[in-house]
Amino acid sequence: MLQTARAVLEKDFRIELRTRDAISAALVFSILVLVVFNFALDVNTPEMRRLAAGFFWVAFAFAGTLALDRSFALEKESGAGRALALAPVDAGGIYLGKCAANAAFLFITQLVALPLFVIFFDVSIQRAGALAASFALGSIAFAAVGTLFSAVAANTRMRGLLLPILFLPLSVPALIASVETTSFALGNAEGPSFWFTLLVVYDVVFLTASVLVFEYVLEES
Amino acid sequence: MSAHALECERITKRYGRIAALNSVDVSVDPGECVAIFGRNGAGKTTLLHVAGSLIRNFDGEVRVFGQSRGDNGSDARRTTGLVLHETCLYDDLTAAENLRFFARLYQVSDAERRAGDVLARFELADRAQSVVRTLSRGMKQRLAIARAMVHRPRLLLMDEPFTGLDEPSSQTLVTVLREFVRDGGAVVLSTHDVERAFDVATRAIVLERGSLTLDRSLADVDAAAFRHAYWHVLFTGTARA
Amino acid sequence: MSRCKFAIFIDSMLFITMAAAMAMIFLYAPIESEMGIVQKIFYVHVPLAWNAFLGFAMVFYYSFRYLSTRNPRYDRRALSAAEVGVLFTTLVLITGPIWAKPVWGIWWTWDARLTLTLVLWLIYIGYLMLRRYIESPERRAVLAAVVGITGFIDVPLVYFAIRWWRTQHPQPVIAGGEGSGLDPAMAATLWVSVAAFTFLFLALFGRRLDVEVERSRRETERDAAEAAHAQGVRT
Ligand SMILES: Nc1ncnc2c1ncn2[C@@H]1O[C@H](COP(=O)(O)OP(=O)(O)O)[C@@H](O)[C@H]1O
Ligand SMILES: [Mg+2]
Repeated sequence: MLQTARAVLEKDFRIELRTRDAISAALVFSILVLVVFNFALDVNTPEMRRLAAGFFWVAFAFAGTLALDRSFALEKESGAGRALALAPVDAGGIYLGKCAANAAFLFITQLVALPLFVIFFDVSIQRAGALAASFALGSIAFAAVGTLFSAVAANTRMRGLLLPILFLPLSVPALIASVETTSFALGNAEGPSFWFTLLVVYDVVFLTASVLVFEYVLEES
Repeated sequence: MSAHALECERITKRYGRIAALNSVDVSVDPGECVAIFGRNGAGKTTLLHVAGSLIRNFDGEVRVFGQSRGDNGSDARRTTGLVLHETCLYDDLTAAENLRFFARLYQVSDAERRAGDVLARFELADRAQSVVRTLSRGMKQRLAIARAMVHRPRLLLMDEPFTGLDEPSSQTLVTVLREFVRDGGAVVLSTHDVERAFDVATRAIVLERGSLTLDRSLADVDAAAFRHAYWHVLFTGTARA
Repeated sequence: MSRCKFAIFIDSMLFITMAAAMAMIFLYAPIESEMGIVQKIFYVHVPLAWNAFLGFAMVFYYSFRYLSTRNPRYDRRALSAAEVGVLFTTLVLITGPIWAKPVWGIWWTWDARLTLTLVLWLIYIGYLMLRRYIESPERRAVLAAVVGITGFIDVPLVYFAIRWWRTQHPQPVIAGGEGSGLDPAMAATLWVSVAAFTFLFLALFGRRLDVEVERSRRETERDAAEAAHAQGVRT
């Protein structure tokens, strides 16, 4: 299973290195949302600064769907996903590989967007370790559910349009926990242990569940 | 354990009110190359998809080298190679990367070498480092066939493999398939080209609106005679003796 | 018991319990001292919410059964449970504000239970939407089952997240614990009402299922007839 996951992960990285589709789309979109927030709300007040983590994750949740949608769109493009599904490998391994690639793309997007976020919202990072953990666990959470639903949505007539509709409601706990932990890292909230625990539980639950059900998503009619 | 490379028993596949396949029986032995003929929509693609387990919901039974296609027949998957209408390639990977990736999935031990070999076999060695998106249609088709063979399958299912190939490439494919069959492999391919099929196939079947209407060895007929029989079936709906 | 007899049983129980519940709500249960007459919507709101939740649990169960047996019967049940569940959730989301406005002066409050209901509603709206966009019945059943299972697994996580989030971000007006320290007459009314709405749920579920069974029966019949016709034309 891990061998398969590694092959799939490397393949997705290679494609991303060559095209930079997922990361650039997600990055540009998240910056756009941050800029739009700035116009829609006056963010440079102390009040708003305390809510900065929320803005960041909202921008990121929407931008992330672009990267996640791309994940299975590229499998559908020339039918390569069919060949992948027919290979004598474990569906769970394919899922883990795609999920790891997506989590990495999301994490990289966040790291690149972070300086802009700090500048736009005039926030200061109080606890760098907590921020890294928040970003990493949050990325895994979004990737865990997003990868599964990207594959589900790719099978419909609506393709990517259905992805946010399916996946955003399910990611509510991850979103809340990510906002709270990032808020803690920025010095705007206390008591993060519950939220870190929730993120870890969420990651474990959805990684496990997805590995188990992924074979049903991959099979053809 | 049966000796058949592929056994399809009473395969019926419906799409709503259309019966794409209607109780089709075919079996293919190692060393055979079977050509499927039939008009557009006759069910050729559907039959190949059922045989290749791309379609799981159907009535009947498919066995590959005696193993049921049923749940998770991973040996059956390992021994089958598929060429579809789609290329089944990643457009943003190079030719070599595509082959190496699939070789790795099938746990081919000498993945690197094997990928190089099949590329050379289909005269793509000089384009190994080209991204698939930049290849011509015929080159993609050759690469798609190379991909289907990279894991050394023993059963090849090919949907219109000659489409888009130029004359020399078609000849190459014919040679490759002949060698493959001679070494004990089994091939099922669909085509509309009677002459081409005669170059490589040992047997021909005709599908018509989901039913098998002709199944005969090509050993004792020539292309003209077969063409005659084929047309007769298409126009009268019955095979002549 | 045959489906028909069972339906008659459910319908009679629905009639009896619903009549009893309505009588108790309006004639027996005392008028709440602080909230007044609007509090009576509570006897509708709470049973609806519980049964909506029952519906989603059924979606989970039948999705699971479908994946393990591939019997379309379970897919039909999952669909019916999801539709009635979404209907009940919608009613919860409507009765909630009707109750909240006169009592707290606001239509909506991001109270833990109400928020959970809203998130559930969104999840299962997604489930029903997904079903509309997949042509092949088998694919539809399989993918819907995957969503039906993961969606339900998410419920406790959503609940704990919202619960904890609420305690960290307290609101000016907070919902008084439903059912906490309930007057015995009120409690009795609530229980009868819960029974009534459970029968309502089962009755609607059964009706919806009948429609679905009939629809798939006609489809198979039509396909068979047309296939036979096509066969006849050829030979
Ligand atoms: N996914 C599908 N949904 C509905 N009908 C289909 C589908 N795939 C194929 N069919 C129908 O099945 C029949 C056989 O199609 P196919 O096997 O593709 O024919 P061909 O011999 O040209 O390859 C056709 O009538 C086609 O319309
Ligand atoms: Mg075809």
